[in-house]
Amino acid sequence: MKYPKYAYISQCVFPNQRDNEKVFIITRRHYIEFIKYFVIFIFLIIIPIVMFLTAMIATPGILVSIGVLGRDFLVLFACSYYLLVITFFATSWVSYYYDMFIVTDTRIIEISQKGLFNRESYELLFEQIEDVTTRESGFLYTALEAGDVDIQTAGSQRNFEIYRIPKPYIVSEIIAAINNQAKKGIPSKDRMPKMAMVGIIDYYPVMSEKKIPPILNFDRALSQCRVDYNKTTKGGSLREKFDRWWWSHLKRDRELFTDYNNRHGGKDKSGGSGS
Amino acid sequence: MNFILLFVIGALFIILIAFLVFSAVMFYHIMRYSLVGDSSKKVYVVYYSVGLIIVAVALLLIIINHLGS
Repeated sequence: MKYPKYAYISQCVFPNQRDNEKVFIITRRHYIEFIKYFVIFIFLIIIPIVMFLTAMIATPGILVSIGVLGRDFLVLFACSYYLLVITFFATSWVSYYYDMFIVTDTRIIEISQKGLFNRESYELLFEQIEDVTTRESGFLYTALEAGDVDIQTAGSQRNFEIYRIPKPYIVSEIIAAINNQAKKGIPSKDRMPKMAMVGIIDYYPVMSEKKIPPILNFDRALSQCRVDYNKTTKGGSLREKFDRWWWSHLKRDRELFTDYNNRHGGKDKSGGSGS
Repeated sequence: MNFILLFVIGALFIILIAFLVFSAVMFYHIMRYSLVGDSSKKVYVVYYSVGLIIVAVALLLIIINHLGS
């Protein structure tokens, strides 16, 4: 069985993660939800080019006739337009990408990002969950394994409704398994879904095997995070701190990839480390 | 002619400042909310680079336009 690379590197932290809190699921909306923005983006890029070419073909001397100032304003307009288009795309991407749903051994967190300046976060402890239901509707969403997960809670606590996430049945099974263990009084550090797939990180399954799945090897990851944090806060100019902070993230990702591949890559290629 | 060129470059500079301000807001978001290993930083670098390339190309076209006239 091949461990997903992403699962290994994403074991470190989301905001407000507690010490030794295991992460089972980090998922976003299905990518089909972002495709509509992508299509609009492509149209916004192509349409002015088509209009410009059409104008050039219809009136060949138009660029000469508008003069130097006209051409300058045309360039300025095109520059502003395309900057606005990529900004629109970036904003849409932030709204999509930072809309997250996280399941740990203690709680469920839903982070809702609407635009750049509106972010809400909801948290639900497993002890408060009453029922979990899944719904897949429509041909496209069924074919792409996208659906909704409804989590009903006890009392006046807000219900969770998570829309259009990938692999909703597996998500609900994992939540139900951890919920059962929580109701039996099993402490959070010992909670683990008793199934082959114990988590999902951005579409990739995290498998349960004899070896500890990378995503659950949390102590090491957390200590690494602390080391990096100390590095970024000690000494140097503001620019040096910034550089260390920025590049330590990228560097650590590369190191974890390399480390993971060194330790597991060979076995994976030769038929998997199964059972 | 030089006055026009200065005026146009000034306008382009204002556009550039607006873009840099917005990209700073984007950077703030990524600094606060990205998870380790996610794609945020890469997408930000692409966004920032493409924006700067667009401004650079615009500047180049404006200069060529004035050299040719």
